[in-house]
Amino acid sequence: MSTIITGMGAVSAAGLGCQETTTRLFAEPVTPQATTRLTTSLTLPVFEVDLQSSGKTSRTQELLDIALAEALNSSGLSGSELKNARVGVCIGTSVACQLNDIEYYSQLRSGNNPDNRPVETFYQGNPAEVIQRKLKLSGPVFTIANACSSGTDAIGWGSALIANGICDIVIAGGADELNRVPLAGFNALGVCGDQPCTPFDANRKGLNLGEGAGVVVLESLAHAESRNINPELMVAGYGAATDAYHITAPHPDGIGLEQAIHQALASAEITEQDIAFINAHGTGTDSNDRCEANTLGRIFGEQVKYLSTKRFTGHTLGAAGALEFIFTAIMLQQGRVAISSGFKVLPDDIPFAPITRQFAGDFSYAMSTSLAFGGCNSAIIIQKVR
Amino acid sequence: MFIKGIGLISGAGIGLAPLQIADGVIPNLIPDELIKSYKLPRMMRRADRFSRICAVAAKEAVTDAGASPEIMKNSGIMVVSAIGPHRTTFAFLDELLDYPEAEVSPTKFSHSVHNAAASYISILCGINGMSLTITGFDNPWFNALVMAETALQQGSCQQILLVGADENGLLSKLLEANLDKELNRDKFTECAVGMILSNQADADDYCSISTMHNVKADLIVSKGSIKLANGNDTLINNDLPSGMFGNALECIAMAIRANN
Repeated sequence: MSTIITGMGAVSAAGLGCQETTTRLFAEPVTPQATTRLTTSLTLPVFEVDLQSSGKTSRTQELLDIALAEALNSSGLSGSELKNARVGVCIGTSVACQLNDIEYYSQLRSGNNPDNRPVETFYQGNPAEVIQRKLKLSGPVFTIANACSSGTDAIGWGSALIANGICDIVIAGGADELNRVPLAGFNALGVCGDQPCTPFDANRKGLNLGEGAGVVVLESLAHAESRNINPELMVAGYGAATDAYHITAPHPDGIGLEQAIHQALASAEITEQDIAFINAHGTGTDSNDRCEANTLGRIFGEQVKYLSTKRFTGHTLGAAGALEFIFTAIMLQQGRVAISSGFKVLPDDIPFAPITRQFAGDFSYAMSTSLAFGGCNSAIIIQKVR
Repeated sequence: MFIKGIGLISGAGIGLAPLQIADGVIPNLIPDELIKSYKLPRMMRRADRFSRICAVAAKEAVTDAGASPEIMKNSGIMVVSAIGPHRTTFAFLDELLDYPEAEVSPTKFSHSVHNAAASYISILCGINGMSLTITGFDNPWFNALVMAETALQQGSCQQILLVGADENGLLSKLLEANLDKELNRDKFTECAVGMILSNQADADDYCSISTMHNVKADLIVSKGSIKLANGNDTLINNDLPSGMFGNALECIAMAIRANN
């Protein structure tokens, strides 16, 4: 698997655009607050993006549009280049694949005849199909609904489409807005924290939801070279495996995650010693962090260098994997690794502490991992080639 | 790739025979009694209707293929749906409207997540390979076949269990009023289709199937010269309901015909 990354765009509470995000990742995170946008009785801290919605389309689409514009701009691809290439789209989401407009549904349920716009927005708002229509693309289109690993899987399978010669270019990523349904749902599951999240910490109390979008432009080496692109970053490996254990909880021994990591290493043709650092899923929940940290420790040993960036963004669901892929790429580009913000005390159930001091180096490979509802586990490896 | 097993639950019944007997006249709702009559293990006792019909199609496909537990362990699961478990989504919205937010059902929420069905199937069929849930309105079945072929070529799993499903309900009714009539997608046919796909040929395969990547959503099903292009070559008859999974049903019909 050798897919070149030629463009990136990111929007989250960590910043509007990759430049602002880069600055934030190496500084103090913002403090999550109770939502100001949603009508809810829940006062949980969340990470909202400072963006005024136009109301013309879904907020998820607005976030995606921002990240897409930045990614396409940074790739330097022209409209004619997109038109003449085999371009696929893979976008992960959770919220955008459901019609969950509560006000509309309430009206409908009451026997009223509400304006049908939410249905049209839903039908016309399938994120990958929107991008295909907007850019007039003709390749295969996938909106991936793998819950919290959707963004990683969208990039991983997007890379596979290029590696297998199906596409020259794939626009891949993930997007999700903050929404009342997952807010109430995750709260009902008892996994939301009432304080800023502290991934892998002894006093971790749960996750904070967030919103955002991350988009990358992936290209075959041949196509990138035809545009005189000198590759800097590439997707070197990807693995995905399912726990076959429980519909919400990860396997306590992390068997699916371990398989996904080994698959990713094998497809990159490298060993665990080649991985400079791992941007873990690290939600700040009890079960995720225990499963993930123990699995990473088992595979990478006591020298494991891992962090979570959730304290910067909250859990952005379908966008999380894509944003964290971009954060990982940024750290590779910068040659320095951020700390696992929020971590202070190593708990008894986690073998090795995450990164507590920034460090620099001339890194070649880094990994980003995702775990999700449904027992989905994914690992993706980025290589810095110059 | 090769079709090794097929499973189906539709308004006509479970399996392929009722579909053939129905001769294109398929009720657009699967009777709840039919779903309940299908024996699923205890671990699925809380599963919603969408996950159950997906599980039936999956289990039928695995049985039809005669796939061993060892093969299934090294297989991947893909579920594709236009609107997913929307009945459960609306049931969760009911919770939000009827109860305090802090007291809503976590079970309804977790089942409203699109990949709950894939999760149940992975447990039911003992699948430890990749798991992928895809949604879309524009030929989702064909795109799923493209991805299944990609996953098999990657070599990360031995087989793919591909399940396509959509339920009829309030959302499908709302959408029917909004769908693009020119694309002949004005009716939802409730069904769940399961296929076991592999790159390894066997004498018992239904047929081979491959996708064309440079033309949007085109597909070739081949055993000899049979092909299907974007659902235009309907094989049961032209009265086959052409909802989101009309294409999947056509694909099955082609496989049966190719096998015969």
